[in-house]
Amino acid sequence: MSALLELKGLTIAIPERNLVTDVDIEVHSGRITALMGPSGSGKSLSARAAMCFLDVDPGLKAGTLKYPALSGDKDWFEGVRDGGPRAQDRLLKETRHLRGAFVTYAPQAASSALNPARTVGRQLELAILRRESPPASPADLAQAVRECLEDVGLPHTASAALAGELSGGMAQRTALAVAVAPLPKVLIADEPETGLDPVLTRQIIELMIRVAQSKKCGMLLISHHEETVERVADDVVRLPPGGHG
Amino acid sequence: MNRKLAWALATLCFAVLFVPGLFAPEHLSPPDMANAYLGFSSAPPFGADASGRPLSEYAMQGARVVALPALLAGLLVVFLGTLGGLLACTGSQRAEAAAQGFGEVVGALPRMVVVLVVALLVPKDARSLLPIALTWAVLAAPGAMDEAAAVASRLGGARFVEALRAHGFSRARIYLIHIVGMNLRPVLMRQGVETMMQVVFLEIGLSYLAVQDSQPSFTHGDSEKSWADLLYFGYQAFLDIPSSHGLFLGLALVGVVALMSVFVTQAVRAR
Repeated sequence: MSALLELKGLTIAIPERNLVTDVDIEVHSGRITALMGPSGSGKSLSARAAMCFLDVDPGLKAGTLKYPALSGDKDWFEGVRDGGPRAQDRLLKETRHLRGAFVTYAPQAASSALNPARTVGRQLELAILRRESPPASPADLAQAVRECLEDVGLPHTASAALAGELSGGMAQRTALAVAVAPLPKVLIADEPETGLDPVLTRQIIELMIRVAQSKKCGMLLISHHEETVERVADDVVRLPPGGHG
Repeated sequence: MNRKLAWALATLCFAVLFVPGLFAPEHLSPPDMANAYLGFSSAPPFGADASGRPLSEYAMQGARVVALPALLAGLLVVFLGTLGGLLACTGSQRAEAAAQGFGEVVGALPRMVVVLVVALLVPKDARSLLPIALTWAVLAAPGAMDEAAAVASRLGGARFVEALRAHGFSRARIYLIHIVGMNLRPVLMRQGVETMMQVVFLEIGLSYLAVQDSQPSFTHGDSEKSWADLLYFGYQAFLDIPSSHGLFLGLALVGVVALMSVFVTQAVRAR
């Protein structure tokens, strides 16, 4: 089975030391890959690299990144290794159209992923418009917004609420809705349990899995909760402490 | 209050206060003793002073004195506040330290003393409200920068920028639309309009000191009149000199400035 995302031999450094060393991650359609490790092991850094976010200096030392389902054998890190911040910035610009479309991201703090001064409905509309085949008419767009809200168990009325007015759980659900609304091939969920109580954590992760599977996208779940990972992950990548490999 | 209505009222206040400045006469009309001490509702409109010169000309010249400096001071505060908010979103410790250093140094200066020094440093024949207004704006900027940075921090700062970049938004769109346009706007507009209001009151205050002591003004040429002249006429009314309509017009202008600030604050709130 070919992977949706293939990150091989990732090594990212700052002048003093390696932040991550020789990390391999593969994400497959309909499967959940968990990225585990203690704090400071480079989980978020590796996940960000999978979206071509590389903003440390000197940065990428080694590794290849491929999106086989999208661009075949193309290595997105070609020309970026040892290229420093300028090459990394160029990569970031080149791949902007992929983020929020082919690969989406649900960050640790849901409130940071949403614009508090914009309505939930409008944020969902913008995400839906990034689909490969976006809705043709305003009525279809409104219908797609309603479906996205239903998928994450939010009432239709939430569409009119400002994101800044949502409770923690609702914000987490909205952030998930925004992340899956473009129908991405890869969903990266960065420690969705952060800041939530155990009951809500379980609900959100189960919701995340259900939604990701119904949309047939592969999921990269970043977590340091052994129990969560054992329960939900199909594949596990474990990072050693300190990222030294 | 409905935001559209608030915008309309703020625009109306701005127009009432400052548009007459565009039509202000270079010099006051010659004295016409037949009109001396005419009342508020008599011709010429808003009454006349002891020499029969229309008070409306005082109001128009006063508008011309304050309009441009107040507007530029407000814009400068908005610009510096924007800078403070954006620096808080860059995640750069160096940039944040620079903003903090600027705030601490400038914020520690006694505003009125610095403004008076600037007013005295400007040569008499080049006196204008503009350098005083811009100095006031720089001195007011740390407050605006702090408040904008606090809003940016509540958004999540650099994490907010990164999350929106992960949604595929460009850096320019994130900074200009999501951060400044949608989240910092209420704070920046309020700070800008407050500064405009403060510059108007500063002009009135400094001019009042000069008028009362029959000294040359700090803020405008001696051939021009300030709204402070109107208030001074009103003050004289308490000394039984018959010109109380001047006080009414002066206070009305000050009131409209305050109302404009209130309406702008209402108009720019998030919802």
